[in-house]
Amino acid sequence: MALHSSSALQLNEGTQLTIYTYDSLLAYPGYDYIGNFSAYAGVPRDSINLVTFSDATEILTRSAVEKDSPQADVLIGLDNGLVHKARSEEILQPYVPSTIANIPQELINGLANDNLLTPYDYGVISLYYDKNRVGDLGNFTLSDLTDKQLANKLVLENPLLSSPGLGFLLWTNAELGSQSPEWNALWTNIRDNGRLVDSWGDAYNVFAAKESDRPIMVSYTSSPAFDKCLYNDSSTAALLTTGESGKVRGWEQIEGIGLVKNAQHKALAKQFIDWFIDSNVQDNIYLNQWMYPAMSGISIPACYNSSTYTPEDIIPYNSELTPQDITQNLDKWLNSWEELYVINTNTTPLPTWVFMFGLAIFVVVRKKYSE
Amino acid sequence: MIMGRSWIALTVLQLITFLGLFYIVPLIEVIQISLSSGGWTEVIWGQLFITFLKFSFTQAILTTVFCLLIGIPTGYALTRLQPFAKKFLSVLILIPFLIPPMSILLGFVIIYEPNGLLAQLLGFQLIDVFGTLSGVVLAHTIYNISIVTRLIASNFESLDEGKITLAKSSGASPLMVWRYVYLPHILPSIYASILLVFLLSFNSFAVVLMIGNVKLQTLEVMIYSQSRVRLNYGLAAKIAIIQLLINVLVTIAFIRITKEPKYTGTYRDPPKVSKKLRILSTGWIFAVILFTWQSILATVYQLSRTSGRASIFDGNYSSLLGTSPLRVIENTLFFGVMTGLLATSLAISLLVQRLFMSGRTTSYVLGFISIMPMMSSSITLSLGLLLAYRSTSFFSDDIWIFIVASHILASLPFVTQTVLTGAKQVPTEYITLSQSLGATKLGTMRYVLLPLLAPSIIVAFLFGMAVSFGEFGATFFLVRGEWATISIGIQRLFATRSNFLPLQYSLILVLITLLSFSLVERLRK
Repeated sequence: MALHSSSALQLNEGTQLTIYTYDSLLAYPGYDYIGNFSAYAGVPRDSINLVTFSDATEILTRSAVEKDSPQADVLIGLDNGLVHKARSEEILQPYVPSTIANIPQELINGLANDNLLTPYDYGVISLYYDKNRVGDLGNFTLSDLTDKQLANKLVLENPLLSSPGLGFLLWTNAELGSQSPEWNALWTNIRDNGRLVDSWGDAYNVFAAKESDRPIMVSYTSSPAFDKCLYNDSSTAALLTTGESGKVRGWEQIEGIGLVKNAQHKALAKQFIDWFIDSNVQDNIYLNQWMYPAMSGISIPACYNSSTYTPEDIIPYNSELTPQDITQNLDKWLNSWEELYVINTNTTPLPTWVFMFGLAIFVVVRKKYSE
Repeated sequence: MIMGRSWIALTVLQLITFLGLFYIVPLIEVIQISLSSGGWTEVIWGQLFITFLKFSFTQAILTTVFCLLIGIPTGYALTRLQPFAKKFLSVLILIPFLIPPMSILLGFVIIYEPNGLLAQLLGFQLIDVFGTLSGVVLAHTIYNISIVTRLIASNFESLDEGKITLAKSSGASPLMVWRYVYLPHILPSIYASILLVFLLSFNSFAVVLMIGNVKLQTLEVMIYSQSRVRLNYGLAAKIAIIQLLINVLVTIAFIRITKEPKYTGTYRDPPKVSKKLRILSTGWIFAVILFTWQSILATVYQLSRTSGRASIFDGNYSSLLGTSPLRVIENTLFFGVMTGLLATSLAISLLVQRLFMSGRTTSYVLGFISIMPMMSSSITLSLGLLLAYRSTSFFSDDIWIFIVASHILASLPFVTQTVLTGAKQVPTEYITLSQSLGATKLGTMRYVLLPLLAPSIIVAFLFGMAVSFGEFGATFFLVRGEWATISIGIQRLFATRSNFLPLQYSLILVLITLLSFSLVERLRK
């Protein structure tokens, strides 16, 4: 007991900053943001305590459980789907970074105009697929997923547990309307034939494993750039709904970094946030995070342009599904989704007679016994 | 004399403080929040709730039926063997029930996942276990057959074979012998199995969380997801209360229906068995052992052919685990030892009160402790602990206290039972004699009872430790920071697809469990 208490204490004393984020942040091939910040701020690397979760949603729920005595100072990865819950749970404190001028106002407004979170990157939720395994899907709209064959190839993330999963649900809500007949048909088919997993990382594992036979996944428009830029592989592509005059439509996810309310190490936390939305990190977003950097003026790599949509091609649905709409309706939407996903699922592959037979034996035996 | 009273009072204080702080207060908190947030009809008629309620019942009933269908013949077959084989094989059969659920689950997934061992062997996928009722029932059946077999077998042992001979010589057909002699005789153990398996499956957490794929949830999983994922504490508390009521009602109704089954365990001579029946029995038992051991065997097989870099000594997964892989093992041992020590000490307190205090309160407390785990699930208690203590600094800085407390609560019924059963075997004259010779109660306790009880106390300690090693639900709900246990580690690494570390963890858990179990068996002699 003494051993454990003392080692825990040492950890607490030595820690100058605790960061909660998800495990795939800036991970492929890898930008060492902890090491770089430690050098920049002149604090020992060991004094920065990095805690990773499999998805941003878990960052939110963990912080909500701890909100009366927070462990983290900085949260990285809450997005425009999760910010509403973060606001109502009061886990963040507004902070305007000294480097805020780097970030375009429309991204700030799209995420949190009360500065609870500052955008560090954004991307458009899309289907990401392997053309070698499904062929070229070309002209696409969401309703194409009512096709059983297509849904059979799809792996997606649970909107209750995963931020890209929630983004995909918001896309379907924006395009079809929550609980509309089209929405019901789409989600019923996905429920019956798609594969639902807990996080983006899980989905990628399923997508990549050829034997799983799920060559379409819910990811981002920037995902094909990963294959093109790193492996010069052009076999993957992104799918958005085809709109008018050559533009495509989808849901824009804006990811943010925020200061924890009542954080223990505020000064360093603020310095970290300022640094995170400045060029040191932002220059590395395209080729390590595979999203679009929030900072304006960073030129897009050529391998992006040749492999996928550019932000200019896309008209996001976000202007039609405003933050106010989401704040008001998110819980209701999630409930509708969960109800559709769960109810009427065929849960009786075993014949009813097995059950009746057991009951009959029980009754007969009891009767004999009491005689 | 005053001193004598005060140390007894101290044991009472210890028990009351512990149960008050870590059981009563959290439970009251859950009740309070469930009542303060209105909208009961919305919950009860809510589509999700009804679906999951139905599922909880359906899978629990099906699991119970399957466990009996396999467990009764196995129990019968076991008693047809020669003593040595019987002893050896019944230990083999019991073991999977003692293995922590996370280890069983990891092996289960390795076998049944879409491209798992079974699919590789057959060339096609025989059964889809993710998000299907058959998957959940299969996993629960694999886990629970062991205990059903054990209960039924020991009931079969007490059957007077003379009755069979008599029935046969009076011209009864084998079917009639079964119906009128065997079945009535083993009914008590059938009832005990039904209650046990039903409650274990109805309140199942780990299995349904991991393979239910959201579509299927027991009420236990629903309480978890509504509180820890959706942050909807009011709804979670309401479901927790409903689940608690169902557990209490099922238990009471069952005790009523079965009119308190008398469980007879007198040992009889082994029945005379034909060679053919003995071979048949042995074959059947080996098939059942293969079935219940499949997860453990799959884990060992998979580990033998997996080459991975990540071992327990390397730091690749530290940020996912929250600490180093080695520390996870230390944590597990730490929780185990703390749980063993404290639960045993509480059990001894209870024994002291039973011996030296007036009967009524004590028997009330005893009864309370023995039905406690049936009333309130581990997730309900964890929710209570969270709600009651989340704003204290203990909860933020010393979460290990609450994890240990939840492990103690989970192990208390077993630990108490072990110590009290041990004490029953100490002749009462020893105590009377010691006191009439002028020894104080403390002296009697220290110099007479404790030495005689030492083996039981060690067994109780090991039981407490073993329960702690395997505990998943409460730890999963409460854990954070650097306090992950092996079971939590397996769960967190489950999805990374680098199975090497989880497999190693799983094997460590299996080995620790086997070690404690063999110690228990040795001490029991």
